[in-house]
Amino acid sequence: MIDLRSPVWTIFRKDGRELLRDRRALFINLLLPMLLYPVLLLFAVQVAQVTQVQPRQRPQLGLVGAPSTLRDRLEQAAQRTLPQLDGSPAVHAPLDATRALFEVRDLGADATQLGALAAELDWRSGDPKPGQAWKARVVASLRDRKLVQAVVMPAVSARTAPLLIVQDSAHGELFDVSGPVDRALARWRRDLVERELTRRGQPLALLDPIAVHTVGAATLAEAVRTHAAPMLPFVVLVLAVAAAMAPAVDLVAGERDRGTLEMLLSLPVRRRDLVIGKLLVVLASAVVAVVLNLLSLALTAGLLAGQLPALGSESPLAGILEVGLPALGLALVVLLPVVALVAAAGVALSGYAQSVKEAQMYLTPLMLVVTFTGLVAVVPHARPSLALDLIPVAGTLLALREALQSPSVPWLHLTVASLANAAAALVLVGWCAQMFDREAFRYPRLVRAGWGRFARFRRGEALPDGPEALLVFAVAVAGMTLGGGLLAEAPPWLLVTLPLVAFVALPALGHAWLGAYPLPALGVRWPGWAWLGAGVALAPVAVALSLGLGWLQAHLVDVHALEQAGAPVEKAVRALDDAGGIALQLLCLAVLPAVCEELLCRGTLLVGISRSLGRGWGVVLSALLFALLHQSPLRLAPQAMLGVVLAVMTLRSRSIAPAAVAHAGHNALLVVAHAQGWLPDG
Amino acid sequence: MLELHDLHKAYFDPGRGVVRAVDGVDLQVPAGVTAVMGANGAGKTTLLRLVAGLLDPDRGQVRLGDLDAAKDGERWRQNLGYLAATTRLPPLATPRELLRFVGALHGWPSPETDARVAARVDQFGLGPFLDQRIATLSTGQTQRANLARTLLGDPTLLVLDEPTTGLDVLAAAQLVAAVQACRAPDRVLLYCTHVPAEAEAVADRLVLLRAGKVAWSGAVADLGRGADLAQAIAGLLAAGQEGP
Repeated sequence: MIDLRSPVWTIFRKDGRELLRDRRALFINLLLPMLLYPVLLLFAVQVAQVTQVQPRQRPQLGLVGAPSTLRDRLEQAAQRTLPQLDGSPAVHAPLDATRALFEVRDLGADATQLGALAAELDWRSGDPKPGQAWKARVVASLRDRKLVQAVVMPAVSARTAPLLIVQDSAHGELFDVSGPVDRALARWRRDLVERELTRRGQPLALLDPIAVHTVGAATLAEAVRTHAAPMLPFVVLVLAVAAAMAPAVDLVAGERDRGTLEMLLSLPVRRRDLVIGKLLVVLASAVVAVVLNLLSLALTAGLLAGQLPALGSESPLAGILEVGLPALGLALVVLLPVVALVAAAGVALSGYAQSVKEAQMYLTPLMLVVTFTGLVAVVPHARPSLALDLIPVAGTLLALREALQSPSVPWLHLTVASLANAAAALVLVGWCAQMFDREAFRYPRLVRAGWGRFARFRRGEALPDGPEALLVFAVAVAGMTLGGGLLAEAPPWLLVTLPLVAFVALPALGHAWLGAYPLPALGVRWPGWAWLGAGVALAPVAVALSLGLGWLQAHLVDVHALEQAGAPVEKAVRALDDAGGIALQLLCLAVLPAVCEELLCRGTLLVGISRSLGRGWGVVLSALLFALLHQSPLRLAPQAMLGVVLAVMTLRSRSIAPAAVAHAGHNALLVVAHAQGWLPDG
Repeated sequence: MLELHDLHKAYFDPGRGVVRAVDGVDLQVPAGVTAVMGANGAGKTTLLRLVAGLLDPDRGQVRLGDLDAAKDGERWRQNLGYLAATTRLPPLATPRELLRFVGALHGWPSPETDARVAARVDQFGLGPFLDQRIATLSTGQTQRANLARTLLGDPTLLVLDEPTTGLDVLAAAQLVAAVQACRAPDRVLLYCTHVPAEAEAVADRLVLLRAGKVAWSGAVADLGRGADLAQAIAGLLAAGQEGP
C-alpha cells in the first residue's frame, strides 16, 4: 500500500506540481511534439507526392546499327521510341542527350578477343588505335561524363557473340541506365534462343523447365507486424529517453542552479527518498510523454493511411496501429524498468554535473549510448538469450521484439531482462543517494584539491594518490599492449615511439592536467646543474649494474625461454637495431623512453604511491611497475634495479630530470655498445 | 549549547590555491542570538554551512547536545532551520504549499501542520499573500515566507546567513523584527551579517572572524553601542590585516 504522506510521495507531489505549473516547459516538452508529428508527416507526404508527379528524367538510349530485334526490346524497356544514330561524326549532337549507347561494329579480328581487349584497354584515358574512331568517341564521351554506358556488339553473327559493356561506374545515373539495358538484353537473349529453338523445331517450353508460383499465407496485418515490431520498442525507447532528459536536468542541476535545492537539502528528508521522489517525477513525465507521442503518431498515421493507402501499409507508423493497443501496453510495461534506468542515469549525471549546462553536455553521450544499445532491437535475426538479457536496455528491447513478433511471449527473457534493468536502476539510485549526501553535490563549485573538476567528491591535497597513479599505470599498460598489437605491421621506429608518447607520456600529463596538479610537484622542475651532472655520472654505473644483473639472470634462469615471451615492442627494438641508423636508435631507444617513462614512473607513480604508502614503498613499487611496463621478462630484474636507483635520485633531487638524464645515458650506452657488437646476443 | 571543537575547513581555489576558510575554530555558543561578523572571505558562510551540516569539516566537530552535525545528518536537520541569502524558494509554489510540504517532510499529521502554519502566518504576516505563487512576491515577502519555513519545525538551532541581503530598508527592518521574534528559551540562533546595527538589534553575543579564525567573541554590549560598536568592530577586523 502506497503511503501518500511518505517523504517520497511528498517530494513527488511537490516536484510534479511544479513541472505541471511550468506551462512553457510543458508545452515545449509534451504538446509541441504532438503538434509537430502531423505537420512534419504531412510535409513528408507532400514531398513524396511532388516527387511522384515529377518522375526522374528517363535515360536516353542511343543505337548505332543495332538489329531491329534488340531495338524493339530496348524500346520496350525504355518505354519510348529510340533515335537511330548513324554512327557518322554528325552523331555528336544527339549523343549529348544519350546516356547509353549501343554500337554494333565490325570489329574484325578483335571480335573474338573482345574480353582480352576489354581487359587491356584503359577506357577512361586510352588512346585508341587508328581506324577505331568509334572508340575515341565513346572514350571521350565517357571521360566527359556525358555517356554512362556503352554496349558494343560485334557485327559478326557468331553463335555466342561477345558483348562489351563499358560504363562509368562512378556515374550517379548508372543504375537508372543499367536497369533498362540489363532487362532489354535479357529479353533479347531470350528472343535469340526462342528463334533458334523454333528454327530447330524444339518446343519453347524447354526454356522454362520449372514453373514457380508463390502464394502469401500471412495476412497483410501479420506481415506489417513482423516488419514493424522491431521498430516499436525502439521508437518507444527513443521517445522515453528524450522525454526523461529535460526533467532529469531540471529537477536536480536546475534546482541547484536556481538555489532551491539548498532549502530542500537542509530539510529532514532522507537522501534516498529525495532521489526516488525526483526519479518518479522523471519516470512519470517520460511515460506520459511516450503515451501522448504515440497517440499523436497513431492518429497522424491513421489520418494519412486513410488518404494514402500505399504509404499506410508500408510505414512503421501503420505497424504501430496494426500491433494494437495490447502490444503497446506490454511494450510500455516492459520498458518501464528500462526507462527507470535511463531516468536514474539522467538524474545521476545531472547531480554529478556542476551546472545545468554541464548536465546537458553529459546527457548527449548518454542518449547516444542508450540509442545505440537499443539499436540491437532492429538488428535482423538477433534473438534474445540469457546473456543478452543481462545487458541493460539491449536485453529488454530484444525480448520485447520477440514478444511482438512471435506467437508466444518469451516471459523468461522479459523477466530476466526487466530484473537486470531494475537492478541497475537501483544501483544508480543508491549511488545518487550517496552523492546527494556529499558536500560536493550541494556546492559543486567548492573544488576540493586533487582531481579537481572530475573527482570533486574526494578529499585531499593537490597531489595524486596511489590508486590514481595505479589507474594511470593501468591505462599505460593497456595502451602499450593494445598499441603493440595494432602496430605490429608498422615501421619499427613507430612501434617504439608511438606507444611511448601516446600511452606513457600523455596519460601522465593528462592525469596531471585533469587533477590540476602542479607539474613541479610531479618532479617536472629544474634540478640544478649538479644533479644533472650526477645523472650523467650515474649512467655508466647503471649500465654496469644492468649488465651484471643480466649476466646473473642468464645463469639462473632460461634466458631463451624468457626471450620467446618477449612483447612485440621487444621485437621492434631488435628490428630497429637492425634497420635504423645510430641517431634514430638513440632517439627512439634512449631519449624518448627516458623522458616518457620518467614522467610516468618517477612522476605520477612515485609521487602517488609515496603519498599513499610512504616513500619506501613508493621507491619499491614504482621500480617494480617500471620494470613491468617494459613487458619483457628478460629485462625485468635489470629494469627493476634501474627503477630503484632512479627513484632514489628523483626523491633526493626533487626532480625527474636527473633520472631522465641517467636513464637516457644508460640506454644510449647500451645502444652504442650493441651497435659496436660489444654485447653478447640477448 | 552549540559547541564547535577545533573546526577546520579548507578548499582548493584554482586562482588562490588552498584556502583555509575555517582554521581551527573553538566556540561555545549558548542559547540566544549570536551574531557572526567578518570581512568578505573571512569564512562566515563556510562556518555557518559547517554548523548546518551542509559542509563536512576537514577536522573537528560541531555538536548540539549529543548530536554531531557531520554524523547525524537527518536527526541534525530535524533540529535545524537554515536560511542563507542564496536559499531560494520554489517559484511556482505558494507559501502555504511550501509550508505544508515542509510539514509533510517532518512527518506531522495534517492538523498539526495546519496549526503550525497558521501560527507562523500570523507571526510573519503572510496572510495577504499566502496563496500567491512565490514568483509573484516581493523579495521581502519571499524572505519572510522563507523565515517562516525555517521556523516551522521549532528548531533548536537556527542558522541565518545574511538574510537581509537584497532587501530594501523597510523590508530589512521588518525581517530584523521577525528575527527578534524567533527567540526561544533553548534556541541557539546564529545570525551572520555585515551590518553592525543589525547585530546590535538582534544579538546578545558577537563572534568576529578573521581569515578563518575567531578574532574576538563576547557580549555585544562589551563593544559599545551604535557608532561606537561599528567602530570597535571595524577596528578588531582590521587589526589582523595590518601585518607585523
